Amino acid sequence: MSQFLDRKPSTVLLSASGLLILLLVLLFFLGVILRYLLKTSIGELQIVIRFSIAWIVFLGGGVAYLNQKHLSLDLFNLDRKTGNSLAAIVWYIRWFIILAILLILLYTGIIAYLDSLKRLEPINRKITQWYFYLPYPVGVVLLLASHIKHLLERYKKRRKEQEFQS
Amino acid sequence: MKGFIILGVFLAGIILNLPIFLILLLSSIIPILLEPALRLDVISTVFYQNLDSFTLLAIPLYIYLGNLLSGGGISDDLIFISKVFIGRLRGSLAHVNVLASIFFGGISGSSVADVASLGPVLIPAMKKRGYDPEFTATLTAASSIIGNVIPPSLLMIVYGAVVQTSIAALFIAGIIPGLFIGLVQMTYSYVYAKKKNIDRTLEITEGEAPEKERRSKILVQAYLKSITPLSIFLIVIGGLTFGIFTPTEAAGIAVAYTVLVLFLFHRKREIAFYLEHAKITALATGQIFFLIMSATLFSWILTYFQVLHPLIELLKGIPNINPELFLILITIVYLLLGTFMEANSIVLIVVPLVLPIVEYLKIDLIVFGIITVIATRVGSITPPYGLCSMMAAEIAGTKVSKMTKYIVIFVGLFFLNLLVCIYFPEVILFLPKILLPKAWIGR
Repeated sequence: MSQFLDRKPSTVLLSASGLLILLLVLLFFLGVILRYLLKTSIGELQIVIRFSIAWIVFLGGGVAYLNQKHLSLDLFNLDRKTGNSLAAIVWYIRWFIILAILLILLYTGIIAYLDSLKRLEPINRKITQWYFYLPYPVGVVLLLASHIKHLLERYKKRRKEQEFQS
Repeated sequence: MKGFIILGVFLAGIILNLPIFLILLLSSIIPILLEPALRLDVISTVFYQNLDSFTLLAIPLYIYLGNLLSGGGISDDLIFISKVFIGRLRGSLAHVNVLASIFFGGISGSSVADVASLGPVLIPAMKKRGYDPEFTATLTAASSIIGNVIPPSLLMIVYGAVVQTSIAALFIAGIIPGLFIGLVQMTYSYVYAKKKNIDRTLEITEGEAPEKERRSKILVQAYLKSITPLSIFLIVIGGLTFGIFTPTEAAGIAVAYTVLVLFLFHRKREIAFYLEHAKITALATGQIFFLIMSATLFSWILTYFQVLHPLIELLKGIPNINPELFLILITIVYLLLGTFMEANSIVLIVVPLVLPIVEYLKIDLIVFGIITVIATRVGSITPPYGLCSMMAAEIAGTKVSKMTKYIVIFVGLFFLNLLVCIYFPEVILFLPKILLPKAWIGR
């Protein structure tokens, strides 16, 4: 676990979402204290909770993808079961399919964010809900960057293998 | 036609070895693109339904609680307490393994955290005592499932959010079935130890018979060590039973309390410790929510295109279909799906689809929830997707393929537990009925 946490981008992004986890704990604790001891509640806490969870999910999910930590079934491992050239074809097909999915997600993320600029926050009608919807496109950009990084890493690995063989 | 396309894309995703959340997204996006009446906006709408769910907010908090407890040395205390109370039984280390999982389940909701924290201590000790590595690894993985049945449970939160039923009722309903699973596993461990003639008794300091005076000191120590885990359990269950907190707030309070206890009594005073575990929590939260959001979208698509409608009609058409028969059938489906799918995904995809049948057969949603949680979690020990078995096998220095015999036995024991829950639903409903208001149960 700590091996990949040591990588720089992962560390920065995960530290940010880790701090948000701590903030989330503090907010829930504060909410209960306010309700039972001070017999009051602050609606704005809800806004900070929504802000925190959205960023935690998209940053955490993005870093998990960067480090290939998302769960997969591994039932038919074509990379290992097929020859080199077929495995490469499968790898590229998979890469392009994921790219297409991520581009669609980016499109829907941008649309959702733009819509949120017009949507008022029910708790405080002075602000819009952009803070809640911004992590979506940002998270997808992170996924896209990670996806491109996976391609570059593969390219580098292949180059090294070829150099070694020659 | 659309149904075949969806299932075809789903299969193609599996063959291409895409991450599960991407398989679910791909199988949802293609039908959306093919259906003129649907817009891509549905993706973000469904995603944000999950992010806006107050119930699902409990997930990161319970993951953090589990991480803090396993990192903070509370799991060592649980092992010590278990040794004190059942160290003299035959097969004592195996019993300690199960009992520590029951205790761990009472304060954390994660099987993986259970194996990761108890496994490295108990598995080598059991191997040293003469247990097969395969039995040891399977027992550790199987007992970790109890953590998902005894409250708090992450899977129950996901189920409760899907069917909109009381999380508090689900939590309390899980206590007796969880203890029952533990009892059955301990009985089998006793039979195993007797057959292999190993591990007669286990003293606290191995090899030395404690004197009476020492024994009483150890007992006092055990009672003192049990204060922290017991109080965390009581905060969650007491808070829910008396309606003081919501499950999400209970998680927040339990984490704050744990931080305080670790800081004051376990000398965990470096901010780095709390931040490091928060980082691991954020990563796990991202993984689980990506899975939840994509599985909810996939479930929405399956419902929109009525993909499983013929199957539901077929089930309704079975002559003399009764709740028990349906629950046995769905248990078998869960067990099969659990071999290659993650439990959260199964709950998010299957439960909304079979909910009309559950309501048609007037099955209590709490009973259905507990059966769902147990049956889907059995997948954590069955290959190829048995994450807990894989982790335990690695610690035990064996392979999952060598554990097949014991995996089959433990799956059989789980099936027995499930049959008892199906035919005697009072096992599940007894505690909620006496502890909670009537309105919280029977939906």
